[in-house]
Amino acid sequence: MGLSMKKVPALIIALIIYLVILLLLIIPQQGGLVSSTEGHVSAVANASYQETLPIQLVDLGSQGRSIFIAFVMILHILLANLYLGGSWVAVATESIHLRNRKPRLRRLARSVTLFNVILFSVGATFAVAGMLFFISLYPVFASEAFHIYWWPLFLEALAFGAEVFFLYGYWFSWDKIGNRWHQFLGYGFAVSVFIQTFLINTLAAGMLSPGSDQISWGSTGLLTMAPATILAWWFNATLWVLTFHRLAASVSFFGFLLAMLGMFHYLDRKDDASRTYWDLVGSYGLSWGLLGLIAQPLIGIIYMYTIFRNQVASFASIMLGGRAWEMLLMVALLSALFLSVLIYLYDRKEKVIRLPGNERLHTLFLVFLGVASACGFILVQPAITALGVNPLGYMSYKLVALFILIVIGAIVLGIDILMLRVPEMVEWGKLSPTSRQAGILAGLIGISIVAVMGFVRESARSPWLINGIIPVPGMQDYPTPIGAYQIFVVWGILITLVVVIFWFTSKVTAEHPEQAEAV
Amino acid sequence: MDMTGPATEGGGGSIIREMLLWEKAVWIAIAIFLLIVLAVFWLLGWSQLPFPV
Repeated sequence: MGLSMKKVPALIIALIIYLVILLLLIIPQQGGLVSSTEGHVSAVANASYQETLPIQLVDLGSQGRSIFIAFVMILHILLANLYLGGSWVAVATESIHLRNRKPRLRRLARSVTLFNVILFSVGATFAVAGMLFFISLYPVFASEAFHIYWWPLFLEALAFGAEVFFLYGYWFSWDKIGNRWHQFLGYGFAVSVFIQTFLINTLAAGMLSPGSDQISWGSTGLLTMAPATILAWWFNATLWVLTFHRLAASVSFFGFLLAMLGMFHYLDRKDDASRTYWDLVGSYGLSWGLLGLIAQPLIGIIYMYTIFRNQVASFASIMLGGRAWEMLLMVALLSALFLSVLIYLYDRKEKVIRLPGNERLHTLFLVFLGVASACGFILVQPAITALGVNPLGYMSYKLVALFILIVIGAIVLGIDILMLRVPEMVEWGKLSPTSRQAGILAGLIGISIVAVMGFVRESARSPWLINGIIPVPGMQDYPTPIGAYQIFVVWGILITLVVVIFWFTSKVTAEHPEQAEAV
Repeated sequence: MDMTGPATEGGGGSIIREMLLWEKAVWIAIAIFLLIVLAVFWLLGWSQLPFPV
């Protein structure tokens, strides 16, 4: 137990040490302090599209506009992911409740849905704010992009309408209509969010992998470009893979968020019934988080390959060039997330896996913890350092490490769902500090990784707004992407802000048990 | 995932037991998923990226 108690602090210390090394050594050594604008002087100068209106400053220095957009859009993404992932968690939880009639599942499905109901308008507000900021700060880009994507954006507006109908219908019809119709509304919400995400991704993905190397306008009509050309813009190379990656990331994000909020409620409530319930919610959330987590590296590899095939300069920038540190940070967080889940499961189910007869399972968990730590160590290695090439940082090794993490995650998920389904053997409501810390850490890292992923995609195309076609206006006087140290400040503010928002919203939406129920 | 209720637990401490049909199906799904992961990593990664690079 003594060893187990130290795992989470050890993981946190390792993560902090790595962040210090990243900030002080890796980023400067890899050219991470040099802007992408500086590296594309002639390409940006020769771009066909240049800003014609005066540049609107926002009093935050030369990167103020980028900071504004990053703040608003990453915040929007952190909220939008609640619906993209949370909708599936809510309705699937209700589906399971309808099969086994456990009151806690109904309670949780309702809490998650109300959580979405309350925060839906906040996410939408930041989406609209982001659009307005694009128009004000990058007018040439906004007019061209919104013109190209008129039909997808129009359909997205309709999808928003469908979302509103399904979400509010789902919540307000609870216990007022039949189960089948209620489930229809719930799944309708989840599917409509997915469709809406797909439609906005035509633009988001198109900025990274545009359908052409130039904007070729046609004539007035329903389609303002040749049909094949405009379809290439809409259904661009990274559209599908980005959409599915976001879906997996959102499910994972929401699961870990649920686990973290479950731990907060556990600490906040003093009665046994509530503590038992929130302990169970934490475990349930971790399972959803792990499900999304094992899918992400798989889709991520396809995503990176697609970028490599279609935008080799962006691929080189984020894998080998000045932005490579962002990928290192992302895999560091990914590794820490895998380890947090393993530590949680090992600690929370320790009583079961230590029982006579389960020795092999116990050993397996310890081996997994050791191997996952080694994989994380490989993944965070920079390929190039001031001393030259780092053999531990070879991509072929990293692929092995990533593959092993997925295998471990999938097997552990199977063990958790199938073999550790023995609730009566766990003392629910008696969480150890290690489990609580691991659950909270998983939630914080789950939020952080979404913020980092969003920035990686945006900075991959820097200094372009539409990759290779429309540059960030202002050229060398307004370099992009946001500097490494500045973006850490933005992330820190954003993560603190959303944790506070999620916690206080959760305080309002949570339905606590009035009395203990049989586990 | 303990929210789904009690499992059919046999006596003693061991949780090794005869699997239900749906449980076997989940393990098969996990195995298929891992095969897909292996195929993708091979086709998009190792087949194009010689060790050690």
